[in-house]
Amino acid sequence: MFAVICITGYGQNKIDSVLRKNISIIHFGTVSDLLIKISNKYDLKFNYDTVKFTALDQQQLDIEDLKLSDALKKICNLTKSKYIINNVGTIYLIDKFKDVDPKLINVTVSQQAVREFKGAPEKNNFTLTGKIIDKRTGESLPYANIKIAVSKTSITSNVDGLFTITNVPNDTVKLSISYVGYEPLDYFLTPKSQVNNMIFELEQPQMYQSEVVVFSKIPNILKANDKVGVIKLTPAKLNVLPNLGEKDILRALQLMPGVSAANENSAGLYVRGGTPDQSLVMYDGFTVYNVDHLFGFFSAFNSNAIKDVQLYKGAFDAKYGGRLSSVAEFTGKEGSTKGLNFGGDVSMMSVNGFLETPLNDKSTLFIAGRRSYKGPLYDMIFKQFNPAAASPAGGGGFRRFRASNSSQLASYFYDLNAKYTYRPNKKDIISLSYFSGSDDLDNSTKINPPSNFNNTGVNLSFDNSDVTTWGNTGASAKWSRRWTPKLYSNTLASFSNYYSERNLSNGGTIIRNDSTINFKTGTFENNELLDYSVKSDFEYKFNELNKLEFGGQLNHFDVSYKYAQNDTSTIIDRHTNGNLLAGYVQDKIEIYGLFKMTIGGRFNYFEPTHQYYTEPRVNATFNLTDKILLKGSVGRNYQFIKRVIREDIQQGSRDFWVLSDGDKLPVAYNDQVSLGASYENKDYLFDVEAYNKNLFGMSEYSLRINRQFGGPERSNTLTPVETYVQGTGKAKGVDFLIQKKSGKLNGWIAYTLAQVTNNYPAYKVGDYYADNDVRNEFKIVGIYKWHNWDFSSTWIYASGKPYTSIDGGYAQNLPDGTTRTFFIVSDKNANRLADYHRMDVAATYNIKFENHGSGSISFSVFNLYDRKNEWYKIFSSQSSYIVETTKNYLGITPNVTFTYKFK
Amino acid sequence: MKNILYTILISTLAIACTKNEVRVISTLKMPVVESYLIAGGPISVKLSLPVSVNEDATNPTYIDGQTVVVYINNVPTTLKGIGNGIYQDTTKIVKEGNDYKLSFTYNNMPISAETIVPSKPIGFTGSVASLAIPQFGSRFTPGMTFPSPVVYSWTNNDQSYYFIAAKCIESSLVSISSDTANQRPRFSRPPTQENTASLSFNSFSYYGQHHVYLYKANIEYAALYKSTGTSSLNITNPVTNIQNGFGIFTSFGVDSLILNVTK
Repeated sequence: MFAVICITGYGQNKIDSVLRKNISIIHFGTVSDLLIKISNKYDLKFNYDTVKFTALDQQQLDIEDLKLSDALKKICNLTKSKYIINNVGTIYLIDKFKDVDPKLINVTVSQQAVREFKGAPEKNNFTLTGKIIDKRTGESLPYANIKIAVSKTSITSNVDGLFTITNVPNDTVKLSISYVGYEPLDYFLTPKSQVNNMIFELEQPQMYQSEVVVFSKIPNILKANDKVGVIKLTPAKLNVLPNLGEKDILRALQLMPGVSAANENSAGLYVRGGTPDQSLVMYDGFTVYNVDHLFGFFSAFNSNAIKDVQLYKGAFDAKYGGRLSSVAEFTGKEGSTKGLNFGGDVSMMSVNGFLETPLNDKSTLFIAGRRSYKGPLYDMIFKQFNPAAASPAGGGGFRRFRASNSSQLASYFYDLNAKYTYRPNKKDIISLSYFSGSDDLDNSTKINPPSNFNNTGVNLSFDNSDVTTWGNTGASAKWSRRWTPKLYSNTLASFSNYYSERNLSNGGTIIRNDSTINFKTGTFENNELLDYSVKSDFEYKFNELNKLEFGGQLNHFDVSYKYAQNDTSTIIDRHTNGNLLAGYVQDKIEIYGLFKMTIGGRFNYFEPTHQYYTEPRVNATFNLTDKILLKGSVGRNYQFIKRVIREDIQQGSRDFWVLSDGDKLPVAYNDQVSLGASYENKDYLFDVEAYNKNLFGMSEYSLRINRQFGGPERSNTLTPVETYVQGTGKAKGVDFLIQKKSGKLNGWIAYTLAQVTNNYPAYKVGDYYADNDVRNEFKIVGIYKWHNWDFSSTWIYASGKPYTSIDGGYAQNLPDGTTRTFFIVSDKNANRLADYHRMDVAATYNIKFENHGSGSISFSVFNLYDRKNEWYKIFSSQSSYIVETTKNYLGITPNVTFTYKFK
Repeated sequence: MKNILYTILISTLAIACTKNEVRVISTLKMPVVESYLIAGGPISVKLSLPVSVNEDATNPTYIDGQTVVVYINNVPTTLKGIGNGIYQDTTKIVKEGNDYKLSFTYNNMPISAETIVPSKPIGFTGSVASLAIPQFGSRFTPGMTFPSPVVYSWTNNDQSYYFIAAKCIESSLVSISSDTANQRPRFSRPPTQENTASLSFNSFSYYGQHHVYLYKANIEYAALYKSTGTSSLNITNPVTNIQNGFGIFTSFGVDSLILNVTK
């Protein structure tokens, strides 16, 4: 079975000349390895039966000064094969007694391959429009790259996979189309090519290789050099990476340079010194405010439902706003236009299924759902956060008898993605997208009195509630229209809801002969954020040199936060709302494919402060040579809605959102600049970017009582009060990336040297290292393909993070003769945890079921060498000594995942 | 190209060569004050130094030889050091309603604190004056019956802080239970802003006469019971009313009742 047709090789004339070249190779090993050598040396593409050719273990095959064509004949004699070269230069080695499939020889236009046209062009400087789709499902492919070989012009398809190329030099040029995770496509225009609404189909290589293999180029998981500070990731390839129970998009992004990976307890993005709340995470146009499942060990995004991910590490386009650090844009799958498809995964963490189908010739539906179950892996992570769940505390203040606890653990997470897409004609696309995800963590316990307690005349029941729920619900309705080949618009209405509830309380009933006492004490918190949004984006392409983008956006935020200490007393009841109106304009200028610049700005009016905020943005690239690219950017970003981190680690959802008010909570902003350079050839990418950010109007929050009494601030209550402190920050660093893009072994090495400091006068006079300051972070990712197996390994090293420790303590004698111990803390973040490092490995076996789809079994080991990575420190006093113990992250954790896809 | 590379190089070097700007300022030289002024009692203040985690010592270093002044309604009186960090004036009896300001200098830093002695609690009553508790072993015996808790109440119209403390005043202690773990002649309840508190039978360890005290406390005492975190993610310095120091300088108004615990 010919599973893959890859069309990037030589034209027929060129391959003939290569075949006439004399070669000399002394080879030990299999015939398959010999073909790989020849392929790499002469950039040829072979297609053959790997099982058969690998089995032929030739002791020595010497090719001395033979023409390549004669060398191939020698190999054919040895393997009882014949070779055939098709019209796009792929060399097939097939059984010499078998008939040749004509499809192999003449790859048709429908298979997206044509040979180079030899005649004279008939049209010059015309406009070409088209769409790039997935060959298997018909899904549009957003932000794919289209290059015109002659002019070196490069453009990108839009979010709907549509593109327009103005001033195509002539109708015989070659178009090179690429999309991360897919086989690239070279397409030669001919005078007979249609120039409107061309459909280009790209194909993902199949993982299984029961009969043949194409090994010229194995598509990569990431693409990192298209724009300044932009990383593109393909969810389709994630299953080959090691994982902790779930293939995870955000975890994969954390393997990129500039994105910190040393945060096992947060799926959020720590980008270039920023924190997760400073990253705008968008799913089908609406903002997702919390990306954590199960204390952050997993992200809220189901990779089966995601088609495309783009991460802007800085210098994001003016159409994005509202965050300081980065933008992660997720595009959901629309659903197959080519028949029913379904599939799913079962791992030690969750079950995950999807279904996609065309409803008719104009509309498609995609649905995906995922739910965790309480397997050993879930329990391991849960207990990591809730030590009490592993060994419930007994007694609860009752002396002299032992009460028994019954834990009511009932925790899970789920998410659901659904998308309906309707294409009434070639110009319009209407889509409705829905996303919902939730975590429900219940660590409550019920304390039962001992059996002989009933004789005391007292009937008692006691509950310890420890319930946390949080989640997101969002939906968007989008209308895209290509008005003319030059004008495209995208209008979207959406809402997003983030909620978090916390109930940490004790309650119960005491029934004595003549009286009943009900009681409930503890803390109750509730945070609810509603974000309603309407926006329109327009693109107008003047010509190949100039594309204008402009648009507007209106957000209405409604944020509430309640904090109660018992069931009758609400301490904090904060409810704020306000509108944010934004408009933007930017011009994308390209000069002869050498120099590209995007210059523009975003203009905001924030109703709660009645102020205008302007964000200028510029980024540019310059192709010094074909392979060397220089790049730079400068810009300002504002953030109007802020996330506040709670201080209690066992709170499950440890944050809540508040709206800036211009007073206690100023609007935050930063100025950032980045410079970089890259060298890229067909096999390797070397990329370096340096950045510097200055952050202003930062806020932190502390729900504490006043620490000092007396003087003018004398208070007569210990009721918690909201305390916001303001400060500034600085982040600077350099990201390095070396990526091996081709061959059976590919992957990347990422290194970041960085420094992040904060300055909050309330904490300390002067700068101190921020919580997320990591000096050195090194990541290496290797993926090796061998027959039907994918092997992968990642190794992460990160300098230890700063933490606040204790310098000492003292004991205070109380009037009743007992003693309480108090700790004196060190300077803010004056200490460092031990360095973090970890190796994960995975092996995935890909299976093709006869007429019944395909699948894989993936074996993965997280933290292979069981490194005890430090998470935080716990302080206690025992026998007059202060004891510091270390809470570690997860140790070695194996996982098995079964994946099945019908198509 | 050169300029770009130069910029990157300089940025790299700038980060690599940046000195550690974070300066650790030790707070271990700040004094710890411990003083509870109770209406009717003397003025007594105890001074010590915190114990460093780097020291192999479990006992604090007491601060002696200081000139410690207490202003009583702004009239200064110098306390007399008697050793072990204790400074006293037994001639001045603490009175409710008086304002006491502590003042001394240590390591060239002015240390100060202030407290106003709360008034004596009003309306302090108990539901019973005697509590009969059967003697038992380490576990309950089937068929045993136990008394209802003693409920104490008082007047609290302004949500002031109060706490109950009890002390067995018998010279010879007779245990209620044969399980001697955690037995204590004195115990107390955390401060509350309520106007009642109950002492259940299992609060008591010994038979005999008990003094049950009701203290009216100031906020700085209630603050001692608030957690200031136990991990590097949430730990903060303890709450204190001592300026440039740690510890507590506070006062109580107090009333008491007698409770007789019998078999």
